[in-house]
Amino acid sequence: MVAVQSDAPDLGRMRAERRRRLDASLRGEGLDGLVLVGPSNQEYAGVARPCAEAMRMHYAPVVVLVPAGAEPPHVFTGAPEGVPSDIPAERVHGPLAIEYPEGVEALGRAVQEYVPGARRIGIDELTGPMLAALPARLGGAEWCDGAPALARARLCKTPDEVECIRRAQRINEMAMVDVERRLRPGVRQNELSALFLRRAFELGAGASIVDPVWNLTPRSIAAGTKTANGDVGFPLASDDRFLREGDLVLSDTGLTWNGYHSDFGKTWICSVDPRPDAELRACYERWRELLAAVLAKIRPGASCGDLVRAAAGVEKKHALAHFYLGHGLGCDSSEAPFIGSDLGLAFDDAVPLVPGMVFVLEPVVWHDGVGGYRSEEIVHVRSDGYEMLSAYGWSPFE
Amino acid sequence: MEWLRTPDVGTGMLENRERIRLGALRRARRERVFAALREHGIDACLFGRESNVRYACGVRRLWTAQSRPFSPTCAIVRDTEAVHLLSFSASAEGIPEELGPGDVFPVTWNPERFVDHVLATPGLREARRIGVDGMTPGFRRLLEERLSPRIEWVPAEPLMRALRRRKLAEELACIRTAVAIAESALLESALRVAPGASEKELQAAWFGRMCELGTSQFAQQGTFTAIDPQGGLRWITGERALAEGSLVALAGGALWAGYEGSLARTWWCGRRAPSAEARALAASGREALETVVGRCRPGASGSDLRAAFEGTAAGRAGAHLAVGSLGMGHEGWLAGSELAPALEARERVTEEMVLSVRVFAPGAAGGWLGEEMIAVGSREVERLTTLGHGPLFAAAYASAPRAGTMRR
Repeated sequence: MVAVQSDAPDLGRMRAERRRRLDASLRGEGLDGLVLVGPSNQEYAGVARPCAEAMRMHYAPVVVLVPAGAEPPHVFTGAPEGVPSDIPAERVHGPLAIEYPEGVEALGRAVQEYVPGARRIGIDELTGPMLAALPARLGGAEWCDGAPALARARLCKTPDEVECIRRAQRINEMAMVDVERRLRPGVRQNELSALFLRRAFELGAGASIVDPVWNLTPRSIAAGTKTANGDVGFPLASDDRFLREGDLVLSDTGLTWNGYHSDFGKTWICSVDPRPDAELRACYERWRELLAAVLAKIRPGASCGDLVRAAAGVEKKHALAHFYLGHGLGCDSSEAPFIGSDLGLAFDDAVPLVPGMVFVLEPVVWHDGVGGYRSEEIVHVRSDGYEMLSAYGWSPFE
Repeated sequence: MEWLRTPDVGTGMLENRERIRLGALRRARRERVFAALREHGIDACLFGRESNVRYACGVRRLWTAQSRPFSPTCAIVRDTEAVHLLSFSASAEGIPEELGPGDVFPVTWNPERFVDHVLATPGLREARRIGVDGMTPGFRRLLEERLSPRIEWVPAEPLMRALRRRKLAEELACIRTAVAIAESALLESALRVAPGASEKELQAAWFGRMCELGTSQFAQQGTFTAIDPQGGLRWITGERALAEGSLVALAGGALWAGYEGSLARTWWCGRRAPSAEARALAASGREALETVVGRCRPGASGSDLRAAFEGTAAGRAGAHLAVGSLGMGHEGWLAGSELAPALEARERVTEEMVLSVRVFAPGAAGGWLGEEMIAVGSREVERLTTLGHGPLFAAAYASAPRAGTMRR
């Protein structure tokens, strides 16, 4: 368990509050119930599961059925230990085989039994057999896109959720202290991953949710691999390459704690004596200026567009072309609000900052030929402004 | 192909021979996918699931867990035999050499623009029967608004599951490597099982060793849990400290070149020798596991495997069985205590399958979990997992688990 100088989250209170928000949200969308197949949505509804790895999860399906009315959901799972005690035992059922027509039929029967008379049911995701067979199996209820109701509920975090994110981030940062010390010529990327994950799990991480990235980044875009958008090749998958003196390393890692994600990204230099040259330091200084300009705009009532304009005022191109200036953080490592993406400024202007929002700012200042600076900073919007949930610092640049 | 039989887990280059011809493997997989589309009269497929995307196009994307793609990330068209990637982390690295820059679409966060990219895939607009493995309702609506009203969505997972189950020699070599990594990493955690150690420490050791052995892509993050008497198995690793005289479930899986190696063991935790009760429970569980492994011959149905299991003492006493097909990800269950009998009856063991056989036997001493992987050939079954079962099966139990005591 990690020592953090803040009150421990009350997980029961957190689940109850999320359930109230989810209910208000689904009623607001005119839904009588929600069928949740996606792991992060299930987590939000208060149901944990063994980590949902991308290549296995479809054959260990969990389904959460949320009827309108803020009562506990029904859970169909093969791992009942992930169901909290505030969901009564009679609402915990065996798994539904939703990869097969039989399972979809059973899901249809469950919806009719547990949400009787439903007219509109929201669903977050469809399996192949659901796509083909579900509409006819819902007893006349119309099935709808559940995403808007979920996005609305999940946008702002309760104080307990914020605390979970703070602790996830603290574990991630503590593990990185050891990693940064090892950033010397000759160390392999997979050795850094080993060190990071070993420390993170000793410190109590719940799950590793992304392959740790130790991006070996050439100083010019043309010198390395590019993205399909024509920008710096990042993030690249790690392997057994080893680092050399002077390598510019963009780290990016994430883990969870009680279902909430961390997001850690820094720019480091591999060296026996890591010191950025003057030109690279200039990128960092500009990056600090940019961050300060964006942070100065954060208060309730401002819009995401205001943040994008503040960033553009310092550096016209302030994010990687395939990413954004920032993204929300919660039960997913990248969720609403998306700030400064290719959705455009009109989209950003329509999203006001609201107390309880948590997002990661990840501006990049890149001077092609010199290299660049990128760091991820986590912001929690409060009624009186904001607080930072990340605390690692910017060595070896500061 | 004899040289492929030894797992290659080192990282050094061989000048005179490739270890595994991954380019040929990708080509063979791709040919199989297009042959299956022709056979099933499917014009195009939109894949979103990592297993299917990787099988069809060979791309190594950034590994993630807990989240799912919100959209298709790979489009293939039968008549053009073209593969198009629509994914993030679409840098040139990780994209196989047979795909060109024109096959990779830029990343966008705008769903409408994304759908435009999908529809720009040559030949897709003419497609009538489109296979999908899953989708969000939002993308389904956007696609249907722009595609011909005559399109028909075809569930593509059954087709891909069937394809992926038939292993090529190169795929087996990849799986052997993944198994070698997984069991070596699992032993690292087994050797830390001791009174006072925490479940998280075991998981940390597993992760660390797996990365050192060359992969930070996990098939399963693992179960490292003390088994309570009558408490059942907890799959989710916690922070509990291990007690003297308890049984500890150890399970996990690694990916190598996208292929899975997984296994499970149960370790005795204690300075004292394992109790007779614990040893009897383990023996009974293992007997059930071996009985099912022995029944995994071409032609056996899922029902046959279940019947064999239920004929064992552990099976009669309420143990759990799960037999699944593994390869490039999970390929579905053949038999299992949670599977409907009708599903089991439809499933068949076939040649070229790689199976995982898992048994959990609960008992007064706690419980015993075991999982082995096997490759099914026409005449023989090859056991892929080699790691011993530790102190519970040591002929003469020594005071501490040492490598020499871990014979199978």
